[in-house]
Order: sequence, then C-alpha cells, then structure tokens
Amino acid sequence: MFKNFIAFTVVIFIAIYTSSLFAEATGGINCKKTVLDSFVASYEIRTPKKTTLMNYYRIGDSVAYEYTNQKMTEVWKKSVNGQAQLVRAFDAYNRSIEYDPIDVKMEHQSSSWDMHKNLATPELFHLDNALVSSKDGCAYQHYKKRISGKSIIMDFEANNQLLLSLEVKKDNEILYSYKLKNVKSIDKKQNHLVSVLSYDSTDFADIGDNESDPFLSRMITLGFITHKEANIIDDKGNALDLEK
Amino acid sequence: MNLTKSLILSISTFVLLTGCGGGSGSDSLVATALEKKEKLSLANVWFDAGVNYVEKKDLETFISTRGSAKNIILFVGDGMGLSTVTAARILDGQNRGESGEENMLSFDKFPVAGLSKTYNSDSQTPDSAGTMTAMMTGVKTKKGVLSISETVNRADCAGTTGHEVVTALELAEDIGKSTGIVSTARLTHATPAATYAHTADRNWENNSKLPDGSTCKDIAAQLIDFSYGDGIDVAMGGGRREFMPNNAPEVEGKSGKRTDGRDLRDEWKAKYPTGSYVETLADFNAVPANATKLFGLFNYSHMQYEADRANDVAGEPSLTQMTQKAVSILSKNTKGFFLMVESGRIDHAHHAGNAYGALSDTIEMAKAVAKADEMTSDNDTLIIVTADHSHVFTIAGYPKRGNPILGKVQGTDAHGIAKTEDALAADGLAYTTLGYANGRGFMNLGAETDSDAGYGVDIHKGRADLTNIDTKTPGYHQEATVPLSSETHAGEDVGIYAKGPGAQLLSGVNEQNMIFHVMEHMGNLVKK
Repeated sequence: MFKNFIAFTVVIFIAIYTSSLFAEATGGINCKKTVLDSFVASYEIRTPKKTTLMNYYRIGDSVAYEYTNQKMTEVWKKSVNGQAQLVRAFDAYNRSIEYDPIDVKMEHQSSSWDMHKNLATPELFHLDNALVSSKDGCAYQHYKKRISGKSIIMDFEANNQLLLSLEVKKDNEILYSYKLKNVKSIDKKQNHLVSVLSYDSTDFADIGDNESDPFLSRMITLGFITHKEANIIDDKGNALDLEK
Repeated sequence: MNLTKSLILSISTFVLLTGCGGGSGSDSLVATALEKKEKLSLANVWFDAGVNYVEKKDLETFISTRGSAKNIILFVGDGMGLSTVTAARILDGQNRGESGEENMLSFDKFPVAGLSKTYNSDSQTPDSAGTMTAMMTGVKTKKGVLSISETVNRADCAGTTGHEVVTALELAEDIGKSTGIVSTARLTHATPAATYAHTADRNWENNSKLPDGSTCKDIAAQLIDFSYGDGIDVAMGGGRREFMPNNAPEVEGKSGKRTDGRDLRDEWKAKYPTGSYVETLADFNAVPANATKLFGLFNYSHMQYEADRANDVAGEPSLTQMTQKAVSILSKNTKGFFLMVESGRIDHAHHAGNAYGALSDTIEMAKAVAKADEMTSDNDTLIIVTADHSHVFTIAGYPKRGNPILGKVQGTDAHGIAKTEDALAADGLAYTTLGYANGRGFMNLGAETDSDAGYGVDIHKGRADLTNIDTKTPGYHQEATVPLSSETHAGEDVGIYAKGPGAQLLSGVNEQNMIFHVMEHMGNLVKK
C-alpha cells in the first residue's frame, strides 16, 4: 500500500510538473473550443542579437510566416505531388515572388511540403521520448535532448501539430528560441495569407529579366544577402567566421 | 661504264646540284619547309583535318535565290552565348566519356557561322524582348517591348497604336504557310510572344498585369485572337495560368491569373473545334497523326528544366519531342511553314547561377535541332540557330585537356603533364573552370537539404572552400564575383549557325535584325 501511495504521488507530481510546463505556453488554447483549421498563432522569436515577432497562419494546405518587424511574409502552398510552392511577399510594397519547387531547391531549401507545413516539429529535430499530458482536448508533449553539443527543449501540441515553445542552447547560451504568445481563429476568406496571395507577383525565374522594375531591380542590385555574410564559406555552406 | 666512273659522275652531279642550291640560300630553305610539311601531314591529325576541311568547304555551294526556302525554322537558345555553347559542347562529349573539347553539337556542324550584335536601341546589354523583336521584325527596338517600333516608350499602352511592326510569323501565315511556336518558357514570355504579339510591356502577359483602365490587349489574348491566315497552327509551351481565370483550378492544383473571367483555352477549342488541346505528356502522345492544329500548355508557368523534367506533376514532353511533333504537323502544308523553337530556360538557369542546368538545356536544344535537321531537306529548309543575348558566364583558368568542365581546375606542370591536384588561387582556395561575373554565388545543394536550418540562404558573397565539394553535381552553383540577387545578361555578340537556302547570308558580323531580312528574303515572305 505504501508502494502504491508512492507511485500515485509520483504520477500526480509528474502530471502537475508537465502541466506547469505548458501553463504559460498554451497561448490560451482550448482544443475542445478553438477551431484550429484556420488560425493565426503569434510567436516571439529570440536570438542573442534581437527579438522578432512572427505570426504563423494555417488555412488548409497553405501556411504563412509573417515577420512583422521585417514586413515580410512567406507563404507555403502544398502542390499535388507533396511538394511545396513558395510565395515570398514584401508587405510594405504589396509585391511577391513566386517559387516553383525546383526554384525552392535552388534557394537551398527543401521543396517538400512536410518540411514547411509546421513551424517546427519533434521529427524535424529528431526528438523522441516525450513527457506527455492532456488538457482541454489538447495533447501536450515535452521534449528535452542534447544533439551535437546543443541542448534542445521543445513543447508541442500534437492534436493540432502546433509548436508551443522551442529553445536551442549551446554552451549555456540560447542560440534561438520560439515562444507561442497566443492563438486565434481567423476568417478563411479574409486574412493576411489571402491578402498576400493577391499581391502583384513575379516568378523567381523572371527576376533577372525585370531589371527595369524598380522593386525587382532593387533586389538585383542590393542582393538578398542574409545574416550569413562572410568572406569564406566552408564545405558545409557555413560561414567560417559566423558569429554564434 | 665502270664503277669508278659511275661514282665520279654521281659525285659530280651531286656537287653540281648542291652547288646550284648552295649559290642561293632560299632554295634550300624552301626544300626544307616542303619536307617538313610532308612529314607533318603524315603524322599530325590536326593538320590532316585542316586539309580535309578546306577541301570540303571549297566544294560547298549555296543557294541565294529569293524564295528558295519553302520552310524556315528559327531556333533561339535564350541566353545561349558563345561560352555556353562551348561549355555545353564539352559537357556533351564528356557525358559520352570523351575528352569533350573536340565534340561538335549538332549546329556546330552547320556550314555557316556568323555573329549577331545584340544591343537594343536603348540598351548596350539587351533583354529578350527587344532582341527577339529584332529577329522577328527586322527592326531594333527598346528593351522590354514586343514587336513595336523604338519610337514607343515602354509601358506606353496608348502609344502602341500605329507603331506595331509586322513579324515574320505573321507574314508567313498571311501568304498561306503554316506556322508554329514552341518554347520551354511560358508561351506568353518575351521570346515566343514577340512572334505574334505587339505590346509596350513584356510583362502584360494576362489581363491582370495591364495598367488600370488600359485598353491594350494582353499577350495571352493576342495569341488566341491572332487573325492572320487561318491562325497559328502549332503552339506549345508553358504558362497555362495566363490563359485561365483566377477561380479555375487546373491539373497542378493551382488557379489561373486572369481576372476578366475568360478561359482562353475554351476559346481556342471553340475557334478550332477539330484542333487538339493538350496539357499532359499522355495527351501530347495521343495527338492524332492527322492533326493540323495543336495547342499545348504543359505547365502552370514555365516548363521544367530538362534536368528536372521527370519530376513534373503531369509529365512534359521534351523540347525535341515538341519540335518533332511541330515539324510533322506543319510540313503537311505544301506551301511550307515557319517555325520558331525556343529553349527558354538556359537563361533562367544562368540567372540562378547554375551552369549544370544551363548546359543541360543547351544540349537538349542541340538534340532538337538535330531532329529538325533530320526531318527536313537542305534544299528547301533554312534552319537558323542563334541566341537572343549572352550571359556573364566564363570558362577560365588553365584546366588540362579533358578536365571535367563542371569541375575544379586541374592544370599541367612545366612539362605539360597533367596534374591531379586542384589549382589554387591567390587566397589558397581551389576554383572551378566555370564561373559568373555576377550573381547569387556559391551554393552547394547536392542531394541533401539542411533540416536544421532555420534560415533560407539566399546569396553567398565571397569565396568558398571547395576542397570537399563535388562541383559537378546538378545542385552546385558556381561562384560569382559581384553579388547580386540575379545574374545578369551580357552584351557581347552571340553566334548564328545556319544551313539551307540563304544560310551564307548570315556569315560575318551581323546586326541582329538582319536575321529577319534573311528569313524574309529566302522565304519571300512579302511576296515580291
């Protein structure tokens, strides 16, 4: 009987502990009440140098990542053969660039829909052995693992395939983290994702032929150089003097 | 005569001869040079090849009588500059296990080669619209406009009226020839569009792209509403979205771009009820042998790169297959035909900084040219192969003979012996034979994608350590000197390769618009 008492206490403790892990991270989800087939989830993204806000939209077979600070949105649409078409939008200009799956590969990204339909998943980070709990119809999973010298902690809601939080650390320094702030349903026909798809779009393959377009010529002359600016790149495509 | 006297006579004769020769130093030099030449011709394949070439060339005859070309086929490799042709030639040979440099693409073997000056009337380095206008209408015009004169500014819709310039395709259709357009780009893209459309802006491909309140007709509508002769007989390429309304789903699950409610595919079918409209490879293969009208839209936007064609959702025919189908349909007309075939994505691969893609499409175009050549007669068919413009694509360093064209430079030592280690630049890093003067720079895609990447990698500026990188993979993008979002066109001359009646008229250095005039003369397109 004492053993049963100890076991029961341990179970309750684990339940309370895992629930507490999700208490702040749920963003107010009640999986029994909130319709999550058309929604926007707002995240706070932190890196050592800055904090960014990002809105993740999901409507059927389309998802969008809206970076409000940068005024840019990336829309991924599922194609017939499981590949993904990318529309990269510049919200300040109401312009967008469309990428076919082969063009996505040329952008050094996967063209698989599975890689982009979610912000992040346990599978993407090779995580397993989750602590699980359930509440309000939601199935919560908590992961913690060390991979290649990095510590990864992820909270994930499996029923809606929704990232709750993600933290990646190295040598006790947070490389980057995602934290869900809130989730709300949206109108399928009137929302930011739909607006983005109505922008004046240009095929990625046609950028080079549009040097007279002031918007596209700015892209051509200024480039699209991202954070990976370095003089030398190693054989993995990593900048040798990249600040981490 | 005894032996002694014979010997004396021989010696005397010898002395006499050498004395004559010795009195004049040049005679001995001439004899020596002739001897050397005879020795060379017996032992050197280069020398023999040269002798044979000249003898063969000397026997060639050319037809130049006006109207001698019953059929005209114009092949345009978009962005296929001379360095692209050279590199593709080498890659084609190396793909067959050869050294590569000695290889000849199909059009390399044409009897006539010339150069084309590609500048637009307002631009030193041109674009596809102005250049194709030059080839199709006989006049140079501004960058970005299609088959209208240089007096009209780009995007000036109202200014277009009265300044349209008739094209070779329209003339051919008007005099009763059959006509065809084939492209791996969208059929409404600049190069194919210049054959049938007249517009102040190449981007007005569907009605939603027109300026608000514009009365101009978009390019896709101009294709369907084409009114010369009995209409364009064969049109195949990409760009299905430009012909479909935005609320109509299509075979790839995407919706069209038109906002005027018109489905131009249905309008074409209604206009040509006995014609064949196709969207998939299976439909293409099922086109009846007696077809006289064919309209194929094989992709939502551009067709796939040849290297990636197998991955298309609904299957696509190759450029060679489309060329073969086009020639077989058009050649039924006893008055002959005019056909334009474009390999439209050499240009796109270069813009992306991917030599493998550009060269693969060039090799495929060479196969299409070979197929057209095989199906037609040199006696009545003028075939022209050219490019609209070049790209900033270079073949550099001192790689040894047979060095993989897509590989890193490995040269020869002081004795001319091939090295096996990579040549290093002043920064201690290896470098590839192929490169770009500007563009997106180094990318190594290979077969894997980085699943841990939270970022998209757009441009790499600067050099890369290629030590453990296989630069011959399809996903490798060459380094670029000047970092830009998109590699640019180049302004140097491009090649013209021609055979058939009137081909010799394209030898030498030509203004690009001369191509139209040769086609017009040899096809008698204005019926003089």
